[in-house]
Amino acid sequence: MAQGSPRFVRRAVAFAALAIVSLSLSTACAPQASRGGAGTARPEMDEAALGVGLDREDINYLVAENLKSLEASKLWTGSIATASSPPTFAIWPIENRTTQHLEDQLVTILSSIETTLVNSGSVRVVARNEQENLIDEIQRQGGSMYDPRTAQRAGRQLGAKYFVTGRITGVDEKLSGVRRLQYSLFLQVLEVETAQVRWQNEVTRSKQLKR
Amino acid sequence: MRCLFRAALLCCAAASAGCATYSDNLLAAHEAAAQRDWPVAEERVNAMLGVDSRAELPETWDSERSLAVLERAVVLQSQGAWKESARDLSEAERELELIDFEVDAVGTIANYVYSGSAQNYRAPPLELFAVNVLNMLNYLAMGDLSGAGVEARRYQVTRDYLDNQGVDRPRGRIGAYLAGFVFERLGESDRALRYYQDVLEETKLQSLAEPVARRAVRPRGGEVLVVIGAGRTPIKVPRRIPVGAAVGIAGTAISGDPRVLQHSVFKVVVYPDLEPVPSQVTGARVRVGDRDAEVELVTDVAADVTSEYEKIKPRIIAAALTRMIARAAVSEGAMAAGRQAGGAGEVVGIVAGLGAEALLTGLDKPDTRSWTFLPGQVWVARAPVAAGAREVVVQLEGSAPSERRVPIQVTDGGYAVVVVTEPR
Repeated sequence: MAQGSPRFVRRAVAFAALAIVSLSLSTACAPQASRGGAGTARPEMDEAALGVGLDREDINYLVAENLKSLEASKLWTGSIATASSPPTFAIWPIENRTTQHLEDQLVTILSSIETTLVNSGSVRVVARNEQENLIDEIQRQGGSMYDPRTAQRAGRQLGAKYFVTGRITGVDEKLSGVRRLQYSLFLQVLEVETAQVRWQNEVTRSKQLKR
Repeated sequence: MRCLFRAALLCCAAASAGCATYSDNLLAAHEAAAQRDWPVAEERVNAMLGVDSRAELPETWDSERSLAVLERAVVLQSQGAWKESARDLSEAERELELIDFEVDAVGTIANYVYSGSAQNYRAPPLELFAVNVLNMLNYLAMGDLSGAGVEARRYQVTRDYLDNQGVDRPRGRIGAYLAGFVFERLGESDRALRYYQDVLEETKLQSLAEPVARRAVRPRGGEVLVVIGAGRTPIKVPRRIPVGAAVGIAGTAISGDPRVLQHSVFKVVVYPDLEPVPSQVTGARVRVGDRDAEVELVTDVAADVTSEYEKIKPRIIAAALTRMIARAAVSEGAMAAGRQAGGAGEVVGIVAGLGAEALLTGLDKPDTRSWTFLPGQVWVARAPVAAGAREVVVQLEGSAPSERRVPIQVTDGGYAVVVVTEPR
């Protein structure tokens, strides 16, 4: 069969068509990655909830609302913002009292609090790695890092005037075809010297999975 | 005509002989576990999952894979791979919950015509509890009290869920015992005490006398908790019983008219029945440092599985009968159409009817799925210890005794949890 003959052309076209169909089918079945969130063509991608866990949207909301309350508090406007030199804050781990394993989310919450406090310019924040070494030491000695007395002692060692701590709780209910989780992020600022609570606030967010 | 009838029956026999059940697929893993060859048992389960190593989870999930991931979680726990076992339990729990949330229309319809195995697997209450109980053990063994707390709360959510559904909750002695221990260590004494009292309402345990006496307040000295999960739970196997006997057991739970079965060529019902599996481990001894610690049986999982099954047995047999009635009705329909056509059409109708029934019977596999690596019994030993390093020796007794030695380090007011899991 000579090249250029009508039969050869028909076969070549058929082969090409088959190859294109096969290629398009294989592409359609492969998982596709996409980019979304702020600064992309799909800013709404982060908005959808994929489960009852805490996602970035929830964390942003819980932290932002809590810190808005802190900035509006008498402690901030009366003592911190007007202090002659910025007071030092330590950020202590947040206790997880939910039904979800939130290790990664708790790290994100602490980082968000730290970022907001540092960028406020009104306070100095103890570096987290220094605190982590201290926490490791406390845990090695069998102490509870969520005990306020432990946090106060640690705050002194770190040279902090205040420390931020808190807990995240969750009310988890499940019925036939529905699961609802109500998260509360409770934050407080304690004065290291006196152990007095100088500010506290709680923000809630619910997630639901429904058939 | 007789030839056609025989052909239909042969067709049925061939189809039914072809497929291995879930329990069959796990046989090799259990054989390895019986030799205490946990790495090989893990390999066998990995093969079922279509993965090469414990680092991998299945790419796609379905009922069987979710269940097989639960099986692997126990095999990993047997090897002290706490982190991987915890991940497997959490992932499988999430998938099983999603399956539970789906409206399984296809599965439900298929269940009546074809097979119990076609339906999505819904973990029975005892298995739902076991996920959180085994995961509490993983986190306690890792010394991650916060993680154990999460599992203890999830255990409570499951209890509430079953109560709200009006489902008889299985005995939760080991779950309540561990939840009590976790909350005691987290400083939530009242909550811990409630769990301890739950346990004591069902059985008297010497190891809880002292914690209850101090109102579940954390002790000043150190403490060791040893939890041993060993032995086998019964598995489900296909069982045949005569139709008449099945109707008697199932009673009013049957949907459809059982009279149609009079015309069926099949006179037995196949349903998933529980079969006890002999356990190689029947007891344990524990030594903490230079002292023996009292070992108490907290939960007889094998007995609880049997009790849970006996309660639902009439419904299981009823489901098998209902499927049989549906198949007989299909056959009857084909034969009736043939009779209407008359002549050669009648013969074709009979052949089509018998063929359809034979084919559907061949495809009907009773649902033998269950969490087969669940340990059959759970024992506990709890002892106060002075701060310092020592060794915990756990001797498993039975037809194939073995020993495990675990070094521990306890601080004043601290604790160590030793977990030994050998489902064999």
